[in-house]
Amino acid sequence: MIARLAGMVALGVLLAAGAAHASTMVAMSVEELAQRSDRVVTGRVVALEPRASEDGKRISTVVTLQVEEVWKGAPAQEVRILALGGTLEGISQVVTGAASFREGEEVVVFLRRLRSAEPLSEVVGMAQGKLSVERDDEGNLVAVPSLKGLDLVDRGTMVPGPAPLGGPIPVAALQEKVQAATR
Amino acid sequence: MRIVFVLLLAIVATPALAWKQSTAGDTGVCLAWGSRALGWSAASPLGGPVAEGVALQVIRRSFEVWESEGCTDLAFVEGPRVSRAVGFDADGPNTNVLLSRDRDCEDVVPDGDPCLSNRSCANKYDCWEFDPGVIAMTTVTSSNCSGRILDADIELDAANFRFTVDDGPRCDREGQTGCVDMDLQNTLVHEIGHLIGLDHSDDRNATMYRSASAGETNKRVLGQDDRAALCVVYPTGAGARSCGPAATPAQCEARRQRYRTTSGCNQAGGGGLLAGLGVALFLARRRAR
Repeated sequence: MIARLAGMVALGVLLAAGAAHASTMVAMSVEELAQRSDRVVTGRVVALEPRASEDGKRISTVVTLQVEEVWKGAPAQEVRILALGGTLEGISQVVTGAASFREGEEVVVFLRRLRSAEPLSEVVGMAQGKLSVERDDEGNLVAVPSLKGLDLVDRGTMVPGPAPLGGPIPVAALQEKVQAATR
Repeated sequence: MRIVFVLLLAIVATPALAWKQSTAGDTGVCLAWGSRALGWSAASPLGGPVAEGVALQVIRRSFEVWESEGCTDLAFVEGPRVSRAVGFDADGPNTNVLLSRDRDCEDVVPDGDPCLSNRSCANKYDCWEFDPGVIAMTTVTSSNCSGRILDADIELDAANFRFTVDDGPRCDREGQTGCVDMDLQNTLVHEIGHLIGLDHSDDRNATMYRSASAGETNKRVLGQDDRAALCVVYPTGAGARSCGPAATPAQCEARRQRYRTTSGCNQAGGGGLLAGLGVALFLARRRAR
């Protein structure tokens, strides 16, 4: 993959390629997200490391998160998340509907450990399982979901409906919901 | 007369302000194919619960829905069957592949397999490696500089959802036949909209509306909003609609360095009066020459 991409650049075909995935999935409540997760943490994104798939056709990114608080699961100072999409040697793939991260971002994430030999987790529920931590106009910490590219349907009826986490929620209220769901 | 027609086209497109064109990565550059004859190939085997011959007919019908409008010359060309692998190959050639995944990677990939560390289990084990709540996924790979689409693949999650082709009431129990569960054409027409570079529409009557539900069949055909998008993005005899900032390769490289994110895909609005008038004036100028 790397050789192929390097060859491509050498040929002067300097492409920055993006891939958009459109996803339709069932809507998940905070309780469901928490129950499907083995770890729920807050933290700051400190590193993004893109990697190619074995066949060179997909790109993913290892997101290193410096943990600030653990709301569910074993204590950790750092977790590594395998996120869908990324940019590698001029080729980028974007997975619409998947959780996206940027360096320095403060987040709350619902994680599930992958069965990989390397200690990696994935975000539960695509973009539903990651919220950005921001301050509102009054200076309060709020968790803000970003469901761009994700089509949500109700699990039982499969009828389209509003996202359970469709807007900002105070971080303290979210923490309370998560911990109530996992007691 | 032609100018009047083109202006009329823009005005007709205007009430359906809901459609959007997808954009490439961080750039805001709209996605579109450079060619009007787009190839596609069904994987062999196709996968899924529907008999292959029937499913192929549904796929063909789904593509035809998008080429049946007189205002566009967009056409789809069925290619030979291909292997069950999706994704973008920088060395090419790339084929736009359609397939159903029949099993979940959770069930077939052994613990510790290297594919789990780089998201390559789908092709390696022929399985659905995304969240089990995801029904269908279309991957559109494009140049961030030009917005030119390079490759697009559609995967259906038949491991976790049942796709049907029948007419009738909504299925209300497992194994029921003669009813509609996740309607194959309903799903495909929507996903093909993504394949040609359209984003979700806010119009509930549009095929490209963001949600689909079990038992739904109204997206088997295009809505007014979808037709407006098609006519503006791929107008007969003219170039595909472009929008967003043009960039040189060097500028694209700078953007890549600046935006260090895993995603950053911004989906910009596409439809509307200004876009329609822009296309209309562009066409009018071309035709006046």
